[in-house]
Amino acid sequence: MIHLLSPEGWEILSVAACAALACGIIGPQLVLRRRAMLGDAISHGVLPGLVLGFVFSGSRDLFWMMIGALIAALLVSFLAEWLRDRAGLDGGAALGVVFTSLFAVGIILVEIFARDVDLDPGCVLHGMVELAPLDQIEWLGRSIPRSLVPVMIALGLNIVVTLLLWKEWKICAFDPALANATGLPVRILEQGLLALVAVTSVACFEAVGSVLVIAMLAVPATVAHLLCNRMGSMVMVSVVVGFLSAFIGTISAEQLDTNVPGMMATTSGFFLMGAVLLAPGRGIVPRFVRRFRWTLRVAMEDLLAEAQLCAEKSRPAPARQFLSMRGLATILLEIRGFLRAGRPRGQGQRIAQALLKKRGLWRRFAAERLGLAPDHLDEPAHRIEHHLDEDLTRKIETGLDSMRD
Amino acid sequence: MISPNTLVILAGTTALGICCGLVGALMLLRRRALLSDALAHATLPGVCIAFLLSGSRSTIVLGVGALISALIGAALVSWLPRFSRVRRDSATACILGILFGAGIALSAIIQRSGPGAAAAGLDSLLLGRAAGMLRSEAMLLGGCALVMSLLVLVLRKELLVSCFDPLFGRCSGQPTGALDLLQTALLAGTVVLALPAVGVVLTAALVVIPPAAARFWTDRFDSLLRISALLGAVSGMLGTAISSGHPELPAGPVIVLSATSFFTLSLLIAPKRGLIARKLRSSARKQQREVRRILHALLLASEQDLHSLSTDQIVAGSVSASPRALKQAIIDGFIERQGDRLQLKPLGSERARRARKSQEIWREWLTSEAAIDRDLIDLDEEDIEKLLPLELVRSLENSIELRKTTT
Repeated sequence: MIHLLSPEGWEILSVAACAALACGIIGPQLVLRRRAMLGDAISHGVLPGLVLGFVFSGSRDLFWMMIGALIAALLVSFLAEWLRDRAGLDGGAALGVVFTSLFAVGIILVEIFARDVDLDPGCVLHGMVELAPLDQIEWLGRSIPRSLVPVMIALGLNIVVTLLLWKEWKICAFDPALANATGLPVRILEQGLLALVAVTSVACFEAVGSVLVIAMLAVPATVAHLLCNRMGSMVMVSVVVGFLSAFIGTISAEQLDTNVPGMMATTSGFFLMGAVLLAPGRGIVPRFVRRFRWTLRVAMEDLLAEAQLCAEKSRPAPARQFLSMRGLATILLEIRGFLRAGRPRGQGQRIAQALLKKRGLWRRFAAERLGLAPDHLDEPAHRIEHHLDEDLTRKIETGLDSMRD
Repeated sequence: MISPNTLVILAGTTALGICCGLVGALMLLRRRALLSDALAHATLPGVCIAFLLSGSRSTIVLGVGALISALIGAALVSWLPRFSRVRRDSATACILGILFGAGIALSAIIQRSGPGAAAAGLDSLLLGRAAGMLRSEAMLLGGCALVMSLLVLVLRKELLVSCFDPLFGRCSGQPTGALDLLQTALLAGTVVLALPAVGVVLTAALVVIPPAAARFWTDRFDSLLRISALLGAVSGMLGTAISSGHPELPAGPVIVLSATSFFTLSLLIAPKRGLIARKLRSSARKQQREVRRILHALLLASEQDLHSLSTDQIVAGSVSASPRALKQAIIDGFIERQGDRLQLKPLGSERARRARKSQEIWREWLTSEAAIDRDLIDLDEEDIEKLLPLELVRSLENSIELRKTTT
């Protein structure tokens, strides 16, 4: 599909992608500090600032509204912190009290001052990125959407500050005590981060609405947190996920004829789902597979050992099971040729003998070294036999023999 | 004159305040205050899907959709940290953002396909309209408040344990999972009930602010719940009353702001945890320390056969006590003023000796037990017996004696 997007679509995408990138760079810092809800709080709490900026300037002049919103955003983060530290309130509750109160003030201000003008609180939530192509300005001889400018500024600022303060923020995020002890100005650094989050949300907010700020500050960073163990790779993954969400979200919004920020948030949700399920090593699916394979191996080894014991004592082979782990193990062993007519053959025989040897060793070890009672030997030996590798087996063997000498 | 319509709204918002206050107090104690915000946002896709499927705008259909989607959101928020290494706050923020975004996208689809009037009903969910409350809705809210109060009363012990010591609850055989689910379901239900009246964001406000205010007044579980429900109810009443007098003010934000003013008031004037009380306490402590310094200086002087000191020596110099502390010491009968000289009275000298002894014991403990450098210790602690066990105090006294005799 070459014709992915209309020309307007590309412009919408450029605004949305820049906003997602700006949020994606700074999101990991919030997630690492367990303050992911700050994006939500700030994007609601700026409403009174927007309205007051509007009232003071008397027009929909963007500059004053941005200044007002920035002050309100800083107020949210500092007031919440002050309540938490000075009044001993739970951090989440402090944040909740502050931003919801400010939002209520904002709605009342809208009702009082801005009723006749279309400063619709709804559009504060949805954002109007679809209207971006309608409002163009000249820049370096090219016509670009006006709302691209604040987003680009925020993106540039985030890149520069993140690169400059990389090491300092890293220490603050992972070991605040060390940061304090090495004489870093921790308070200033953390407040600088809050200010940067405020600037970013206000800039993106005007262009793409609060839904997107909330989702893009939290979700890509959380996906990255699931996939990475280092801050560097975490920021990279977060940025990539943010960009892909913007790209896929814009395209799908155009296909479905719906709201772009909403679709971007939804897309990032699919990324989160994918990461939770498939993250290598710790996703739900890899963990399940690992567990399943281990259970199967234990079932196969147990079956072989039991069959071997029966064969040695020329008793009838253990009864065949269906629709259980053991049934599956039987089928697999027969396919591989390790088990024939209920008796171990070839490689299967060797596995069974090795396992029985380990079981006997552990029983001896537990009885002689750990002093377990005779009737307590079977159960632990039966469990641990699957976990003993060659090296450990040899060690136990020599250890037991040396004691005998 | 109150119109019957206002009376309905008044009753409804009061009941709503009770529900939110109760469930909010539980959430505050479990440190999940912001879950209400996430759930309120998470209702949006459910409402939209219910509308798309049924095509009706009836409160019940949309309410069921909202409830289901809030419950799914709550389940996701509690499962994500359990099955992956996503932390609780990230999970809350992610679910909020994703589900709200999905809801916005769905509502845009509805707005573009359906008639405008249908979409308007969904739009009012974002900001809420208490003025449109029907008699049946108010009665539903009242019934829910009653049921919730009874439930909390009956399950008081279980809820208490699950808030403060869930591990103990599990060990003593309580169905912790079911209790957890019950509280989350209560929260989801409350959020869905509050949504049409006050809207998405302010629902969270009603759940968060009254308990946060109540927390300043008490340290007890029962009174926290009671005060929180009371504050919620009063804010609901007050907000509705104010907004019915000023039709240009929507009820929801006014209710929230009255709750916020209660919060601010509590923050300032609450007896133990309030800011003013804290300030007073710390200045009283400072004054006590100064009185102790005065007594100590006078005691040292009297041991060097100087039976009085001039006021200047006390107020300035190394003691640097404030005139207020001086006055307090005189009122308490520790010292007396003769002209410009200050003299220790028997009560004061006894007090000063006791303080000095406690200090010595403290210093001994800190150097011997806590291994802190002697020069770094600067403490005025009087009632040492309250802080350290008696045998330890005795043995420390012995070792002080030992040190004195050897040097």
